[in-house]
Amino acid sequence: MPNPRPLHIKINRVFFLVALVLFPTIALLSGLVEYNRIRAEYSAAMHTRITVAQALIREELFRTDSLVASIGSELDPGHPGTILSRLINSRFFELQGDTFFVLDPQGIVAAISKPYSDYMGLDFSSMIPAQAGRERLVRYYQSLLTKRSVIAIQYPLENGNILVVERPLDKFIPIMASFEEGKRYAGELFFVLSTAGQTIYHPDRTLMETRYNLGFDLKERTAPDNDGFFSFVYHGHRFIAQRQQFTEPPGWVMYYSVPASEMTGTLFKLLGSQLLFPVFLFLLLFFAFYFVFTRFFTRPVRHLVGALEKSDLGKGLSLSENDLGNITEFTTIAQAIKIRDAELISTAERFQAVLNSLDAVVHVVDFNTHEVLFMNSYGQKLYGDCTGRLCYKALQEGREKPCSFCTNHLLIDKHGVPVGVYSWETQNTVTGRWYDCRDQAIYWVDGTLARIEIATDITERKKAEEALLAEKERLDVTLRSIGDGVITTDVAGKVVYVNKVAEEMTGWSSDEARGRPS
Amino acid sequence: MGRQCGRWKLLLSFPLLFLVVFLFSCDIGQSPPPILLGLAINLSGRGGAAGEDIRDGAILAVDRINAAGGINGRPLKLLVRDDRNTPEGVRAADTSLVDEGVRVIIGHSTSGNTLLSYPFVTAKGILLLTPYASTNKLNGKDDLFVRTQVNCDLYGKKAAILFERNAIKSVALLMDMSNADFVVDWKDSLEKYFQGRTRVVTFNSRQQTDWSKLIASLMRSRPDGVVLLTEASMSGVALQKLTAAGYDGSRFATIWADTPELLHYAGGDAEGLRIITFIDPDNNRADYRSFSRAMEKSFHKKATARSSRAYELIVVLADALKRSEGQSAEALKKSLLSSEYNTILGHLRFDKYGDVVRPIYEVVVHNNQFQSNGPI
Repeated sequence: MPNPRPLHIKINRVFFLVALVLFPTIALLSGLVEYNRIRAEYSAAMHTRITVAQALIREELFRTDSLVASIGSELDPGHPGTILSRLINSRFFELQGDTFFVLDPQGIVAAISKPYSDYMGLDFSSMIPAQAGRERLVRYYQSLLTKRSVIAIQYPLENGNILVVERPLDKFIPIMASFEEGKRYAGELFFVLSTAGQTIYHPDRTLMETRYNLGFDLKERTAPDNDGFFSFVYHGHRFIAQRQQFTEPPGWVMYYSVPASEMTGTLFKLLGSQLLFPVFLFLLLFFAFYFVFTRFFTRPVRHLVGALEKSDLGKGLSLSENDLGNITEFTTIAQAIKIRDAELISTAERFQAVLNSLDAVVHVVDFNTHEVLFMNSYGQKLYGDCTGRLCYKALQEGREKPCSFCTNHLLIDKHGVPVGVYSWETQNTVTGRWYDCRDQAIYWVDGTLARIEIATDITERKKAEEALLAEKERLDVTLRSIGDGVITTDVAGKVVYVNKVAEEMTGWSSDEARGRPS
Repeated sequence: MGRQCGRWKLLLSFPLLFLVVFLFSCDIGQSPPPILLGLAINLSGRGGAAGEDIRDGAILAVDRINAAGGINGRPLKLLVRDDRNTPEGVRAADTSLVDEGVRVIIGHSTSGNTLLSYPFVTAKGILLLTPYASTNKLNGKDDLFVRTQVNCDLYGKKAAILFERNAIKSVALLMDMSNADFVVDWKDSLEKYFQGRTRVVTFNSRQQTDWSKLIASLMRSRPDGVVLLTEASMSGVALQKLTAAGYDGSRFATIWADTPELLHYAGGDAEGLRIITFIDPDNNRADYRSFSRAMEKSFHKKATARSSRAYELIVVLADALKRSEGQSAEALKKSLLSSEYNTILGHLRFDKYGDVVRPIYEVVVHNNQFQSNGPI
């Protein structure tokens, strides 16, 4: 059986276990709900912003479309040189910060921005591969002309000519910079990578200027989940991102990433704020319960126990209503104890009265300590009030240790359980009188094992028995000494005694004749 | 007492619970600090496209070394700086890397820029390593400079042998003075060993170029051969201009133009061009093939002379870092010089000054491909 523990510790444990189950459960359920909500919110916001950013970049990238379309409509197949000279003289692209060149079907430079007229006639066919179809193409490289990182848009013209407009990458910087001013998340990052992973747009201009292969640095990439989220590690930090391919230029991908800590931080903040209330409520409940428990349970119980410990069998409990916390249940318990005490007292008094009325010595002795717990009035007259004294000292003469004839071991079985009454006779060394003793093991009023002995004075009977024995001896001697045969019978006529002479006369011994009819 | 303990345990359990959750949500692991390597090259100036290859090769090498456990448990971290191929850019790149506390600076892309960098970097007690600079001004110096690039003196000597082997009696040299230290040293070395006539035509690619005048000047002496001491894009333009001008003599280029971009810029006019270089285009080594595949997989581009040179240098450096018996640049140099290396580009070793000893090849462009004509 486990050791009993105070109730408040058990209740504290219950509180702890409840908290241990309750809070992680709340955190888990709430976390799941919030996680999904935050993800959905991030997903919608990121998707929208990517779409807007893509539209801005495409708008800027293909600003040249309208001019090229007008060239195409005006181009006279019979006089291509006219439109080329118009292009060169218009300085349209140069005014935009762009450069251009026109390649003939063999890839030879047929027209070029003015500062680079020295390149006229060069073969650029290896640099700018021949173009099939009517679709424009977009390429990304360091310009031979300007040495800058450029987006080259190839427009197919009539007669197999190709117009190449080189647009510096920094064209996109002001647009994206103003777009990124409205940052939604701390640490968010927009960047655009080419099919090969080269940086086409990034807030770090160096990466753009040097055509850095940022794709290589995005380590531990995961596959996009159902919400389009994937993650990667960049310079030792994990990012959550969404990406969207450009429909044009094909292969370009826009990434919108936020540090994973940003999303988890938001989640933890929300969870924290949501858990704050239950935690506060729990603590409030805990302290309220603690106060109520202490004030209305622990303290009254302590008072009750204290009062019980201090209470005397004869006086009963001494407790006020206030000591019991003005709790009806404890008052009822106290009253029940008082009633029980009163009954016990009454029973004990009646019991003592019965014992005191007996003409025998009745005493109760502690089984283990041999302390006299009770002595009736009869005994007190003989031995005085020896309550509290050791029995072998109070009831026997000159003994310093328990009596050798002590009957304790005869009153219990091997398990220490009382077995019944043991009767014996003894002559007391104090009074010198004979007693018929009836000993029994009992549980005394305080629950201790005790021996009760009822000793009836049989001294007179003992004396009569001794006198009778002496008389019988004398008669026997007399009958043996006379010469006549004597046969004694009882009232029923059966032989009781045959003297020596009668034995010889009858041939029966005294023992053989005893009981025979005369 | 027991009752108070129980209460405090209960009260403390909540913050502890949250603390445990918080700690588990944080990255509390600590990895050893990385060894910082600086890479200072031209990425946005003229010839910056070749710089991309250098950077990508270096990044791949670092990535692979780190994946294999780094340097005795410490990862390498490569800090890349663009020197923009200008003196200001070179100084800014070097200063930035020194401020970052790099142990080694790899660079620059040209001899001129490396010479600009040399006094500043070595004075800071930092080892300057390059697979690109070949100027003779750094030959035979017991300093904090080590290179896997062959010096101009050897290039000049080998060029002279090649010319004599092809019965070339006169050459015209087109020299891009934006990298004067390389082209002048190359020319001087050639003249030191070459018995024929040389004619020099200079220009500066950082400035506007009058190609008509340049080509006319090159062809004025009707040389048996033209040597293009220019980077890939200018070499490509020059080749086209020479063809357009009807030049039919031998054309030579240097390791400076030894990149695939040369073929793009030259159109079809690079056919027959011969390049004097230490890069063997018929390299069939297993580790080179592995490197080449990794370049295509990671960067979607083919391995080039530039990227393989950068890769080779970092692998050699990593080997030396593992063996280095100290943190100083001198200890690292000693470690570098104390071994021989079988790299993706072949066998190499360093002399006592840190200049490389390795073979030089004649490479020819045939069917728009680089092919080796064997060692010179």
